[in-house]
Amino acid sequence: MRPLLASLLCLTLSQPAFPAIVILKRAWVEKFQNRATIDTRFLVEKSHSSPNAQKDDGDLHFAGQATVEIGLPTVAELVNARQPFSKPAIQLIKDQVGTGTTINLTGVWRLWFEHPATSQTQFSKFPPAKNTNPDHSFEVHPVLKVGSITLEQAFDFIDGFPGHDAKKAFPFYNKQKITVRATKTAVTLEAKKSQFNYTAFEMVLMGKPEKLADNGIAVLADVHNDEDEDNPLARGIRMIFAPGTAGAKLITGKQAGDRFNAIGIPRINLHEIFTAIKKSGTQQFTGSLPYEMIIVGIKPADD
Amino acid sequence: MSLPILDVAIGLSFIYLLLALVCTSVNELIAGALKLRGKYLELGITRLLNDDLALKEKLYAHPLIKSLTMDAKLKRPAYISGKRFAAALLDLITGPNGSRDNPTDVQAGIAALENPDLKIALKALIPDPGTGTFTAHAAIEEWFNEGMDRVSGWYKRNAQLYVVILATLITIGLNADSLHIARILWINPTLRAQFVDAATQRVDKDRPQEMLPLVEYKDFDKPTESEPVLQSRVGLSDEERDLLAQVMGWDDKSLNKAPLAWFAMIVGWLLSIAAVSLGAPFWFDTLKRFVNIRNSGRSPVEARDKTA
Repeated sequence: MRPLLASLLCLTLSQPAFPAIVILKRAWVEKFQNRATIDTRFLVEKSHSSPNAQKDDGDLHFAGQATVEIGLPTVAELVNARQPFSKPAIQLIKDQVGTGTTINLTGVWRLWFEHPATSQTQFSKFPPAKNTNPDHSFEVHPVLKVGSITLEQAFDFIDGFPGHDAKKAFPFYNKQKITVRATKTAVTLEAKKSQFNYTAFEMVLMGKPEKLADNGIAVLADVHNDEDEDNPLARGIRMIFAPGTAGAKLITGKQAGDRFNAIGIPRINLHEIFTAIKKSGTQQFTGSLPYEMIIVGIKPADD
Repeated sequence: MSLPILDVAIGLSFIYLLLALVCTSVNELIAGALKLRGKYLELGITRLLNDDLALKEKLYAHPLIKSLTMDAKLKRPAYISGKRFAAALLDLITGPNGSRDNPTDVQAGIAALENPDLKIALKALIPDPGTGTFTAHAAIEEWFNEGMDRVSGWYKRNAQLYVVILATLITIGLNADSLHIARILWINPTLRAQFVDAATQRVDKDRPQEMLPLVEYKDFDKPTESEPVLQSRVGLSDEERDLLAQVMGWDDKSLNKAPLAWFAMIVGWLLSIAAVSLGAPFWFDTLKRFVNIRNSGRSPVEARDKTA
């Protein structure tokens, strides 16, 4: 009788979360499906005055727009921003606020429905950000370069912040759904609000790493379940490494079966979206949310 | 772990899953046949234009909108972006001799509108000339997007209502009385075992369509090359249909009941309707948990598998 009771409870108590919609240019999806990063001319509209507390992730957030390269309200985030090497970059970002001029900003592109608006269309005109957390589904996170200051060394584990438990985060990611509509020029993505930034997990490589168009790296891996070796928390998840980072160097040349401990951030896997719409044409479809993990910190599992 | 109560729960979950799959398929067919998305979009646009039907027809006939339909014979697209709506509406308002990039033309076009309510709405929406056409375009786009948020809400509320109506029709049509089914499964261990076997096969076979991954990677050394998963409908096998026929359906006995038995049957229907309305993915996950508990004594964490 438990399912019956559960069903009655669900009917009476649950309120479905409202889905968010992002409409992307199809050509943009095709271009970025197999890239780790994006290079932009970024207008900084708002910035935190100091990074988050270390126990809260230690990120520095700043909001703005890159009207040519991104075309969506964007929040960019520096990881390990409390480390001394981040200070010049933070100062440069803070100095940019209100100047009306853009700076060169490179980082990992991240589409994820964590703070979404009801609907946003790429390359529409958006009002300036009123704070560092405007409604957004697009992030440059983590940032790899601000102006001429490189931040490759920021891609590392975060002292004092372990990240979310993989056993909570991955089942959540796996249960998310997405509805996709495509035309010849646009791709509409509809999904519910998501969560669980920074998840700590162990991964087991399924194959060899492959270099991406921007010199980033992608590799397929299982997400290990320490309670049940035969039932991974997730199978065949693409792991993304930003070019020039310690993680990218570590993973290069590794083989199927190699194991690593990592901390990463989920983003929508545009390669899987693009592959699916090539088959579906203009037919709308709903499926399991395709996601991949941006690797922020990684080390061999036996370390 | 083989307990009769667990096997009954598996049997019920399995039946709800099958009925929910039937419900989903019929719902999709109806929504497609009635072009519900397009109709809701049209209703939202009509309300946005303050019931100015002539302007609505002109809007749908505008090349920017007309070109959105797959077939030139179809007049109503199922989706219009705010940007396109704003461009088409401004173009209609300013007319063939005006420019939607000219604030004066936009204001003059609004003043010439016949519908007084729409005129007031657009005047309130778009500031006085001098602020530039871009403001008008962005304001109309935002207005449209807000309106479509409401349309999306209407559609979803009605879609849920259709599911409940379909669940009711299917439940009563098939006489899927949860109490009766539970009783049959409880007293008939042979039938119960057949249901458990079929449920286990169903769990191993496939997930409901909307829970399938979009792609699979055939070569694990090539994470930039994948193949789409065929999004096929999950039909009922002959064996599943035969099993359903053993625990539900209409006959003389089910019609000639005492009043109290009719009351129990209605309660059983209500439970079935509530359960089927929850949808196939819910019952697939529930069934999988029950089957896992039966097989191993615990429920493993759900894993997502995108590998071939």
